[in-house]
Amino acid sequence: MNDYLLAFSLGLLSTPHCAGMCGSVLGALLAGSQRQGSGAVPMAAVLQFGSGKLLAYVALGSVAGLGGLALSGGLAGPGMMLRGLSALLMIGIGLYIAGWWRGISRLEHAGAQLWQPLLRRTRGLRLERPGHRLLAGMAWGLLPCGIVYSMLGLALAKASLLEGGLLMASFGLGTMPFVIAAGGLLGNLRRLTGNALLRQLAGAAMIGMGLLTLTMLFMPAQHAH
Amino acid sequence: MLDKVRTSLCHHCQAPIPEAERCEAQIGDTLHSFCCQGCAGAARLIDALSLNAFYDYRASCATSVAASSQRRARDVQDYLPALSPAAEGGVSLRLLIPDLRCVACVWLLEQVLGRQEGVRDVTVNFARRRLQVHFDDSARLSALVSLIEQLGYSPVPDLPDAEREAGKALWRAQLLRLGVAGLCMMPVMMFAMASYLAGPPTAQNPASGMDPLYETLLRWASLALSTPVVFYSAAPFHRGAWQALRHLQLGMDLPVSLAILAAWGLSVYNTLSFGSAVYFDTACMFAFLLLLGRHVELISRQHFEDNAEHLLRLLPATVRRRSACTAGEFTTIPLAEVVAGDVLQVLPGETLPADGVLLEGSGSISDAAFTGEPLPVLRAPGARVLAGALNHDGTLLVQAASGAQDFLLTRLARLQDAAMAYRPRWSLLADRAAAGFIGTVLMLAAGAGVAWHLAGSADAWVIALTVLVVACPCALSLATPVAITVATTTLRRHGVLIRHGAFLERAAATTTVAFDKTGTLTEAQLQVQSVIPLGERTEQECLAMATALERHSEHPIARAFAAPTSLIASEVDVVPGGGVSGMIGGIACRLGQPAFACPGDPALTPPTQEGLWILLCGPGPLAWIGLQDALRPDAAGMLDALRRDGMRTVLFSGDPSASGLRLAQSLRLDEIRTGMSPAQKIAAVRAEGARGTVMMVGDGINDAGAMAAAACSVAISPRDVLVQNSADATLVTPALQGLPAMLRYARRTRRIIRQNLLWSLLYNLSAIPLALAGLLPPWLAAIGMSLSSLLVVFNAGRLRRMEG
Repeated sequence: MNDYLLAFSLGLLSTPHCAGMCGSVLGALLAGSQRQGSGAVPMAAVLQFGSGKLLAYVALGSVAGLGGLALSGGLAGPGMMLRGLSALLMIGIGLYIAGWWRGISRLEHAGAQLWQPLLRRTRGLRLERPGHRLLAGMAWGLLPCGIVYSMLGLALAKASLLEGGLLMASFGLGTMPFVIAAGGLLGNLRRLTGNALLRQLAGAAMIGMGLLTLTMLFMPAQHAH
Repeated sequence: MLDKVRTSLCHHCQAPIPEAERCEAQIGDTLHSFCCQGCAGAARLIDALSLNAFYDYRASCATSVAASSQRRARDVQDYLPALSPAAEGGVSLRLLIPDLRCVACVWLLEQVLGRQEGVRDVTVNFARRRLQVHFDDSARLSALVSLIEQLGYSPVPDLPDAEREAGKALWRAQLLRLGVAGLCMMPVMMFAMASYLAGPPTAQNPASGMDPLYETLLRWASLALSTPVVFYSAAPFHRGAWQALRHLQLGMDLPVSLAILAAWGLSVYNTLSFGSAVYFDTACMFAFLLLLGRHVELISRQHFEDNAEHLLRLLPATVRRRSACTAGEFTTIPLAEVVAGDVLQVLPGETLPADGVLLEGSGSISDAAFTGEPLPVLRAPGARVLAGALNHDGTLLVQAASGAQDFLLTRLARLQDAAMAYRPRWSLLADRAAAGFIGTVLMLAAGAGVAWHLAGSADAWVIALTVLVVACPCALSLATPVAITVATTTLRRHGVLIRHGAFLERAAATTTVAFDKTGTLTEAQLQVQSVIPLGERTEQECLAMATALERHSEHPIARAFAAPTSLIASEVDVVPGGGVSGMIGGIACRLGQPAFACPGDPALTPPTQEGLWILLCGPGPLAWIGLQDALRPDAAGMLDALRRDGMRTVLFSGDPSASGLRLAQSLRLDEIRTGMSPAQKIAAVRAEGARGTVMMVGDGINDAGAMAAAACSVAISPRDVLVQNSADATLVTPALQGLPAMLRYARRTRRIIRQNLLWSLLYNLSAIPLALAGLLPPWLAAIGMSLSSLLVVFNAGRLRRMEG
């Protein structure tokens, strides 16, 4: 339960990072899917793109969860190490969001290589169709992103297909307010997220959560049962 | 050949590129620079989806900016009232951009304006189509405005509005409070979770539980993190509670404020005294969840109320008034300075700034603001026009009939405000009940705390706090006003104006619909009924001559002659109160009142007394032309719909004529009485009132008595007529189907209000016993209380659709 809340809040906290990049992607997608002359807010389109993104996250999370299971073999020792890894990744994202250290962006380079082949598939998409919007949203979700990869570390530690997927779903849901808000609230949102103090607060909160996860790992495990 | 573009800004997100992170990618034939792999990937995705036009659009707009032309100084004056000094120094300009089309536009405006020299900050609100730009020097105003125009938008100055500003500030402050609460709550909850998982030391195993050092450390950390939540984020609750207390009232915020403060205070005490348990997480969670609920509620309520606001915002801030001394000169003045008699210029695409008469020019004008009917109607000089209507294509001169405070639109806005502020009797009852309820809740909570404490429960205080939160009757007090607000605005959007909120209640109870005159069911537009030749010319010839003459007139009678004709009349003269004269084929012809058409022969009398007769002469009497009102095409359908809904339909007409009776009889009303005096009508309405609830339908102008005698009244306004009448509600659209639809809607509104009240009562009555029994965890209480309010708001939101 705890981890899902965490993933959700990480999604929410990653908004300052996403505003520039994902905002432009959504802007372009919406511009491309808008029918000529219709001035209506394409809310359905926003939701379709967002759902595609969410689906992509869930798929990634499930794969990571399965991978974690394969790695740890369901054993406690390796499982602990995976948790430790995810805690370190969390601290990394915190530093990244706060703008103090950008080491996590190296992960993006690795991801970019994996992502290339997928691009060829997106050429045939027609954004007027809802189904294709979903697919374009999935491609969006698979964009190289340090924060997503760090979340996958956490999903890895779950060592379960279902829980990995659920974890990424929580993360994706955390990012949804931004996606939905991109219409009317974008300006105000950007003003808030541009606030250096808030960015650093978000980063610090994330670092704190990473540290706590670490502490709980190494604390004498005297759980009352 | 590969072009290489090396810039310091990321091609995709336009953020500065940190040199260490720079990466490049080939998009199309060009190698672009990016700030990160993510942006490079995003650009590739956009390229693959063939959406590169987005970048081109952006780029082309940015370059066309370079060739910016100077705006004429006179027009810049228009924008001056929208300029205000900003608190942080510099000035801020507020614009309304009606043609903001999509999210990409928002992005575009923010990017292009944001990169201008001297611009500090740009905010574009897509939903409200507002742009606010904050810049250093007011001298740059014209450059900025022309920049926006070059991007293809048509900005309109947006005057600062104290109420709206306050709403926006509230929204922003609330969001920040929510953000702080959320950020601080998460670690506090994790700390609480850690200490909860470790568990307390037990008698069997004193070594279990968390190391006391850790425990203390976590408590102090929680104390530090929860303090801003309790005193900053939750401040609105404390302030609300205090305000009410100062007026010796137990406000809605009191239980919440008490719960948060008590949870925090108890925890601080236990931290300092190394006591048994801390509830910092509970305090934070209460604050966060309740704020979240409030925020969502605020957003949706503002959304609902937007329409009401827009009514006045339709009017431009400034107008161009024709100068009294120099011909052809116009000066720009604020709308508020307009007085009756001013001649104002209105350009194509502009909103009419005043009620008045069209002096010069003609154009298609749509009254969508009043009628919800978007199709424009051609208006010629002499026509009455209304402020807030949209001029599509004409350059017009309008003579104002009054100052801005007396425009129909302004009066409507006042009416709507009054209607929305209305609260039905049973809602007031609910309010009073809620106030008494809070006192009970406080005592219940205290009682529960003491009882559980005496019973030896460690959770006694948590239970007391839970009771406080869960029992807050917020939903109960929201149940009615939200629904009334939504219903009033929805009705107005569909062309129904309500004078008073009580109308909805009474309309919902209506069992009998009485029509107070034949005219309500007829077109109120004359049609040629018969042509009786007096000379040797045939019926057709006479009709063609009359049509040729009337084509030049704007009189309502002229509309009866709509058929095409090949005859052409010249030297046409329209004589008010008389008729039309002109030359047809070299013969002087006159059409109109007998005294005007044939002044030499006063003995001529119409063939019958029924209907309206006009005389055609040329030169001697040629024909009598009989005009009569026709039944509205949708009258029968409307009456059928009313009958299907179980309404009794009656007609009380003052018109003694037999033709009116014949018309009415074809409509199968339940009862028809004609030739009634006003006093008889009042008596008849009272008699009907004894059998059920009567709604009176008429034109609202001359039957104030009967309308007042009915439980509620509706006026059906013909086009072009100023809606000023004594009815409780006015149907502005000429479509009669609006009447049964409105009645159904009123019943739906009543149903939803009742659902809301029932739900809130059920929620409070069922949740309190659970909380008293200690079965409800605090987080669930906070969520339940927020959800119950939200449910009420969203349920009311269903009223935004007229049908359904």
